[in-house]
Amino acid sequence: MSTSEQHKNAYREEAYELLSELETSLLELEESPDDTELIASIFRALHTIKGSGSMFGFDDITAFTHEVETVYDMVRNGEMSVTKELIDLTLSARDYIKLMLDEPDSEDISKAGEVITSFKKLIPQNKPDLPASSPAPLSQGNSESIENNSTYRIRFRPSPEIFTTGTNPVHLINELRELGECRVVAQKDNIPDLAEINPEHCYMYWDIVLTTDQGSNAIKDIFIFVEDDCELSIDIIDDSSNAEEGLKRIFTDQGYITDEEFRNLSGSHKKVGEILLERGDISTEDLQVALKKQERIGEVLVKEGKVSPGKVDSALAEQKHINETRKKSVKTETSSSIRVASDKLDTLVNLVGELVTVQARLTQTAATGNNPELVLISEEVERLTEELRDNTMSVRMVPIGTMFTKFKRLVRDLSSEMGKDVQISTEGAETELDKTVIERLNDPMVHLIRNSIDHGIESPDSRTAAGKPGHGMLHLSARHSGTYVLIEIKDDGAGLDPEAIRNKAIERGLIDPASELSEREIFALILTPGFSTAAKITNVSGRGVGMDVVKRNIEALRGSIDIVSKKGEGTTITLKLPLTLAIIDGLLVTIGGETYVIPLAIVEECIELTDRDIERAHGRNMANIRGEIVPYINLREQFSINGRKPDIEQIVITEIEDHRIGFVVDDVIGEHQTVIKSLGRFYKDAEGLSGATILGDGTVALILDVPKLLQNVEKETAVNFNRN
Amino acid sequence: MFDFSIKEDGEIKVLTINGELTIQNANALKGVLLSTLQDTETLILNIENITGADLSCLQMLYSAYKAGEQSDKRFRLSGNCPEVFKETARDAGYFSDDGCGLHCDKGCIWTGSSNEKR
Repeated sequence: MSTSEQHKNAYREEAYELLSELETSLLELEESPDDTELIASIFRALHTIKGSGSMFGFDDITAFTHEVETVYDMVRNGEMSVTKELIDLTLSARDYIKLMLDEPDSEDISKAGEVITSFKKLIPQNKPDLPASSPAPLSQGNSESIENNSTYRIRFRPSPEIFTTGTNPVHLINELRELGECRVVAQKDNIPDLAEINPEHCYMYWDIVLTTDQGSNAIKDIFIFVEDDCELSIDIIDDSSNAEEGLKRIFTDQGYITDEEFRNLSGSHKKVGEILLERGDISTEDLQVALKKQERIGEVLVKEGKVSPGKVDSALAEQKHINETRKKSVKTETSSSIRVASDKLDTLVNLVGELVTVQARLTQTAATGNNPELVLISEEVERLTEELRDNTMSVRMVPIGTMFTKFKRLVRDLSSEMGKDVQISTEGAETELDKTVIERLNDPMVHLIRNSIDHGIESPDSRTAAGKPGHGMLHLSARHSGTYVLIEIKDDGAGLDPEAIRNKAIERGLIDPASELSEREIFALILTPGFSTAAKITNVSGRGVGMDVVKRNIEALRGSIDIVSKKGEGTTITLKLPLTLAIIDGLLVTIGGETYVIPLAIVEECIELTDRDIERAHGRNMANIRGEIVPYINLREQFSINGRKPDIEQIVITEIEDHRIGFVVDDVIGEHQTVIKSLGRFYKDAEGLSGATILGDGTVALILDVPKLLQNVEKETAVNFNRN
Repeated sequence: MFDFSIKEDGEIKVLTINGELTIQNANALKGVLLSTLQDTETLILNIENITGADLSCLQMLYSAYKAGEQSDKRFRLSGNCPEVFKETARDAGYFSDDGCGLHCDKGCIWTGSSNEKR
C-alpha cells in the first residue's frame, strides 16, 4: 500500500469515528437543543472531517462539509436555533458524507446538493447566504487545530538604530501575535541610566513564546526586512513529540542529570530553571547551586545576580504559555488511543492462543518430569500467560454503547416511517463485549428492534385507547452476568398473545395439540423456523427472515434468547451472550479414551453414576441428586462410542435455559484454558460440536455444543414419542 | 505637540506631560525627567492627557523609574493611566504580572494585564 493510500485509509477510519460521534451528538442535541457543549462538539467533528479531508484529497467531502459547518458556526454563535428540521438535515448530511467515503462513485451523491439547498433555506433571511465559494482556509490559529501547533521561542534583538530606520518593533511583534497564541516579554536590562540614555536608540530586546500552526517560515517572513540588522533566534520548544526529547538531550549530554532523573522531572512540564538553562541565560553550575536552596529558583537566581528579573519573567511567561497550551490539548491527550487494524488484533489473539496451548504442554511436561526448577519456570509462565491472555482479551473488548447509538438512529427513522412515536432509552452502554460478538450481534439486534416497533408498539391512537401514553418506550440495556453479557430489548407494546401463538404452532404442525407448554415455552415457539404471526408483511419486518434466523445467529455466538411477555403490557427479549469467542474456560472430560471440552460457564457440578444408580432408575436416564430428579444424556451412546464403559461414570450437571441437565462421561480431568479453533468447512455440519482445541500433549479435543446436543436429544425423543 | 508643567508640593513634585510621548520629543522628555528627578524625593508623573506614546519614551520612562527606585526616590503615576500608554506598553511586552520585578510598592506603572492575544 502506498503512503498516500495509507493516509487515506487512516482518514477514512478517523472520519467514520467522527461520523458516529456526530450522530450521537446530533441525537443528544435533539433532546437538549440548548447544550452549547454538544453544538461545539458537532462543529468540531465537522471541522475535523473537513480539515483532514482537504489534506488527503477528499475534495468533495471538504466542500460539502464546509457548507454544513458554516451552518453550525451560525448555530454556535447563536444566530440560528436548533430545530428538528436542522437535525434531520444534518443527519442526512452525515449519511451523504458516509456515502462519499463508502462509495465515492455512487450516483446518489449528486443528491447531496439538495441537502445544502435545504440548509440554505433554514438560514435566517437577514443573514448573508452560504458562501458558494470553495472552503475557507482551515488554519486560523484557533484552538481546534491545536494538534498541529508548535510552540516557538523567539529572541528578537533589534539593532539600536532601528528607530531611525522608521521600523517600529512593536508592529513586528503585533504581526507575530496574528500568527497564534503569543506571549511577549520585553527585556529591559540593557536600558542604561537616564543620564546615559540615547533617546533615539533602542535598548530593548524581546523574548516571545508563540504557539502557531503556521511554521517557522511564517515567523521568519515577519522579520524579513530587519533580519540583517538584528539578532533573531527561533527555536521550536514544544511540539507533541520533539520538545521533551530535545530537552532530555540537552540535559543528559551535559551530564547534568541522568535519564531517570529527567523522567521524574518531565512528569510535570518544564521548570523555570530548565527554561533559563535552555535559553543559555544561566549555566548548569548556576542552576545546580540554586537548586540546592529550598527557595523558588527564579528568586534565588535573581538574588545572586546570576540572571536579571526580566529573564526570569520571560522564562515564567514561557512556562505559563506552554502549560496553558498543553492544558488545552490535554483532552486530546487523555483520550488518546492508538488505531490498530483489527487483523492485527486477531493475529495477536491467535498467537496468545498458541502460547496458551504451548504453555499447557510445558505444564504437562514439567509435571511428569522430575525437575523442580522446570516446575517453577512453568508455573511462572502459566501465570504470565494467563495475564497476557486476559490483557489481550480486554484489548478486543468494545463498549456496547457504540451499537446502541446506531439503534437510536434506527428507532428514530423507523418510528417516523411507521407513524409511531417511540422513545428509546439505553442503560449499561459502557458494558464491554468482544468486538467479534458486537459485530455479529448487529443484525439480530436490528431485527429484534424492528419487530418491537413494527409488531410490538402500537400506533399512538391504539395506545391512547388502551389507556397507555401515546408514545411507546423501547429500552435497551446491557449488563454483565458472570462470563456472560445480558442484553435486554424491552418494549411497552401490545405484548405476545400466548393463545394465538399456540394455535398457530398447532396449525403449522410445530407442536402436538395435546402438549402442555409453559408460557415461556410457547413464546420460544416464535423462534422456530417457519413461524410468523404478522398478519401482513411490512417494509420493516416480516421480510422472510424469521426469528429463527435471529436465534441461529445468537446460538452461533454461543448465546441464548429468552422471551418474557405480558399481553397488553409489553415484551422483554433477553440475549445471553458469552464475553468472548476466542478463549474460554473449559472442563476437560474423557469418553472412550477421547478428550472433550464442556464450557465451564454452564457446568454446575459433577457427580458419580454407578450401575446401581442406573438400575434404581429402571433404565430411565434420570439421576436423583439430593432428592431432585435430573435428566441426563449419555454421551457415549450419543456419539456411538464402542468399548467397555467404566464401572463408575461421571455426570456433569449443566444449566441450560434454566433447566438442569446431566451429561454422562467416563471421566472428568479438570479445568482447561480452551483456545477455540474452528473445525473448518468440512465439519461445518457436524452438530453438537462448536469447535476444537489443542491440548498440552498436542492432541485435539472437541468442544461440545451443549445446548445443541440437548436439542438433538429432545427432537429424537419427540420423534420416538410420536412414533409410539 | 509636547508640553509639560511642574508643580511642587513640599518634597513632592508633580510632573504633568501633555501631547505626544514619542521619539520626536524623546530628547525633551529626557531633559525634563533628569532635571525633575535630581532635586526631589518623590516624583509623581501625570500623563493622563498624553495623545501618543512609543517605545523610545517607554524605555525612557523605564530608565527614569529604575533610577528613582535605585536611589530610593519615589516615582509614581497619578491620575488615570491613559489607554494609549497602556496599549503601547502591553503591545511591547512591558507589562508583567509582577510589575517590573524590582519589588517596589504598590502603584508600579509596569503592572498590567499581561500580554493576552489581541
